[in-house]
Amino acid sequence: MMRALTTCLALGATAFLVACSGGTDQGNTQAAQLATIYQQVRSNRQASAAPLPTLTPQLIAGLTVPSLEVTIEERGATAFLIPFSDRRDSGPGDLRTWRTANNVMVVLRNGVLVATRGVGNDLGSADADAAAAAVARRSPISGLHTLFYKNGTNGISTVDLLCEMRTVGSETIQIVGSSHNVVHLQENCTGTRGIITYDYWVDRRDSTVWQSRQWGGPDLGYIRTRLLKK
Amino acid sequence: MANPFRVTTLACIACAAFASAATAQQAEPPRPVVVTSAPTLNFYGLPGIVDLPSAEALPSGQLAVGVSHFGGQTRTNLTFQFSPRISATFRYIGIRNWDSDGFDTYRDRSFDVRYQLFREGRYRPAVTVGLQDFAGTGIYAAEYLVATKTFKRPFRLPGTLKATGGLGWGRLGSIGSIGSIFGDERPTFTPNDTGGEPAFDQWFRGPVSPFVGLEWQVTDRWGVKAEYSSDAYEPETSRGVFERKSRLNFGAEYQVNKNLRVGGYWLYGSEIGVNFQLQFNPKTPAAPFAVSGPRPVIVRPSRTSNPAAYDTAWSASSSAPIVIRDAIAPELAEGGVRLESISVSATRAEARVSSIDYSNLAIVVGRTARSMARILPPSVETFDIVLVKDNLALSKVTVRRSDLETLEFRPDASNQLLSRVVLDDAAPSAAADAAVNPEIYPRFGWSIGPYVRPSFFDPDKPVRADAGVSLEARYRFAPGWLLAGEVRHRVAGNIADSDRLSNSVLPRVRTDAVLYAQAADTTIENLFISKQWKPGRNTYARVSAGYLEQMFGGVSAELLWKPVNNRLALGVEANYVQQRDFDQAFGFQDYDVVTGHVSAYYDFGQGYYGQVDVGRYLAGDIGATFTVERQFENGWRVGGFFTLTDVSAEDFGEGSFDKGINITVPFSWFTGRPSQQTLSTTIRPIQRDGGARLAVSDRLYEQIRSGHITDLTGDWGRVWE
Repeated sequence: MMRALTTCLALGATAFLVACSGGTDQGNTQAAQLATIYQQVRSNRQASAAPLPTLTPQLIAGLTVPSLEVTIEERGATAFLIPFSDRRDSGPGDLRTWRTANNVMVVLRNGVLVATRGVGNDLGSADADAAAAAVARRSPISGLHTLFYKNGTNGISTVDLLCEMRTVGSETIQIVGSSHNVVHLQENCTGTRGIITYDYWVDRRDSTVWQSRQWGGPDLGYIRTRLLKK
Repeated sequence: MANPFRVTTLACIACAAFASAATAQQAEPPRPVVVTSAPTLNFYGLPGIVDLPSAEALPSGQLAVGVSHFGGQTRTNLTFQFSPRISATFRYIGIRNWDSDGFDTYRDRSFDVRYQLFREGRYRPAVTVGLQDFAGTGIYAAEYLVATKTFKRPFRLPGTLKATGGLGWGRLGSIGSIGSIFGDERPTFTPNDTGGEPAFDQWFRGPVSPFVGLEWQVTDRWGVKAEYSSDAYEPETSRGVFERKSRLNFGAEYQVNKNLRVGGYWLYGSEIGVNFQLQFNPKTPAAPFAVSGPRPVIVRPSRTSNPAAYDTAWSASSSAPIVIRDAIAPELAEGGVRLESISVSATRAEARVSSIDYSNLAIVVGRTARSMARILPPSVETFDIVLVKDNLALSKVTVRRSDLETLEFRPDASNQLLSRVVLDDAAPSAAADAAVNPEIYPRFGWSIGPYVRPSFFDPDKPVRADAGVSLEARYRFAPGWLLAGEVRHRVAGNIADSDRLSNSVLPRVRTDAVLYAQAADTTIENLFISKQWKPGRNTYARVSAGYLEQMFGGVSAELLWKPVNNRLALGVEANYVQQRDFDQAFGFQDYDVVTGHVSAYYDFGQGYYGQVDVGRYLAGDIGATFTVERQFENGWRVGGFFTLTDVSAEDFGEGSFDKGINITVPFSWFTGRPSQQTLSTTIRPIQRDGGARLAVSDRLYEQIRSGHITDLTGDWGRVWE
């Protein structure tokens, strides 16, 4: 603590706009607030320092754990996620929570997006049981797709989508050098927000969703996933 | 089931190079769409055309800051859409070249209220009634009834046309009168009146004039406006402030982004004007709130598949609570939650927790429940989570472990869980057999950094400020005890330069601010000791003593009654204080007073709160303060208050009685990160000595609300984070 105080005083002497705080109890003075901003700016700078690696077949072959590439289209942000936990519940399919190193999380049910955590404007939960069942069967099931997303006032807003699913066709897709034979399923949904489309590229043998483009809500927008290593 | 946390930790090491790069990276995000659905503002900061009002209402909760200038007149306006139909505006103006009544530049404050009588329908226009400058000395005093109709793609032209027509009284009926409806007597504007009182005797009196205006929003970004004004600008033109040659005003506006709109105008045939319009809504945070994801809920094996796991023999061990405490406390601390104590039985456990980072206590409940589900033996089915704030047990949330397990990723998980939890009063302190976390006391915190103390509305210099360095520290040495203080050293400032010393005939409990500023550079802002506790069911108590605020020191005691699930709270506060020396060191002046209030707080629902405080104020005057406030679930609060006491308007001085507005903005609204810090300000048109309350810190109602039913359910959408 003394070191923090000394550093602060030294910095404070050079720039008037530096504030520091310490201890295990947070205050609410202007100085304490400025100190919070200062700490957050610093941690943001550290967090955004590491660039993404260039994906090569060699890099992926060397991975020891499954990896998922997630892109949030509206923010132009991409991250690589690894599995955090697996479970089942009363709904269809398997739930897998994927996370980044700093605990930003995406939860998929049979590859269908059902929740995000730590992204901001998060998807709290979803009723996507029809889509999850369709992926398991590799054939279309139409039905409701409901999103429960976080609004700006800590509450949950709901988007009800009425969806019709169809098989676009059998395709072969490439993900960083490896090719997969997939069935392309497309969910075309209508709701008060207009037309929303979900695309799933599902492995023809074991129903793995290798690639998808899914909608996470009006503020989060579309999310693309690519399974780099199963 | 294997411990997934351990697995991923190993996995992380294996793919370290990969995972360390796993933070989101920004590419070029698409250009945001400009939304101009909110009504545009006029020169008075109200929905309107150029200088005239329209009948539109801003989106509920919207805050609009407008700064307009033409013909030597600058208006700074703050409008708040308090409810879908009611809006209120506070305005500060400066009129240059006034050169009469003892002013070079005439400065004044004014309040407006508007009520939308009808919303726009398919054929029916929106209709609004407005009172402008209804309480001041009345330079802008006017009343109006106005209608606005929107036409999409008018005459097959692009965009949207809004046509407005209305009737104006007062200033808005000062030219082109068609007679008078409610009597033709109307008092005239008097620049040196004390003002401040609602001018019932003038509303809708005197001549009435029609006015019309058009606004054409041509594209998403560009709009043009034209109007035919019914304002003669008599007080201004008669003093030569500007020359008014026409009743027509024109303007063009450009929407810079979602929040900012700028306009250029040609007014009254002689003047160029500008208008900056900033609008935002507390419901839409500047940065979306995000916290790193929580650890997963671990699902117990079923009782039939593994009956041995449900054995309860562990609960007989006297060390069980301590073992559990030592496992849970660090995990919770990592998640921003402080475990105060835990007590366990074979089937039930009570964790008493307080928040380190979150103002949203639903997150604290969620994270505590997750940790309990991860660590407690499977036989424990019921979790009692007691939310504590500095020794005040706010509430007890009872969660069933099986609900956590089954609902984690089910549709509408937050509301599903909310319907299954029970919220109740919490016992004042932990059970005797609870394992108390020894690390929570003592706690110490400090901060050092700059401060700014602003001072507004001095007629000679509307914005003054002192700035310097502040050193503040807090020491919580035992449950409920707080020793705190702040020392300030002023480096620069001009508050002391003011030559407007108090002319108050009351004890000068607030109007000596200039003398306080002049007396010393290094001051003790506050230095006090306080103790707070819960004396019994639904009751909370606080005692503070010391240098409680900048101008007063003494003792303060408060008792509050507020059941967890109740909308009503009742409180009583009594203080004996003495006025501090101007140098704000340890000395006192001669003036002392017994001051205190009986308070009732009521939660009307939908975020609307009311408060009435009846009692004796610092100057010894007796009366009541009325406060209404709108609070948003994310912590934003905007409200207004006024105080009526037995001090006459004449003795009170300028303004006639005390009134003002409060604005509180949670820090996390700006940063998107969890924080309990808030930016809070009270704006008074003028600070006098009547109706002044002691500014003691940590009043109880503000401390306990966050853990009670309204705030907790309002925050519940984040319980799974």
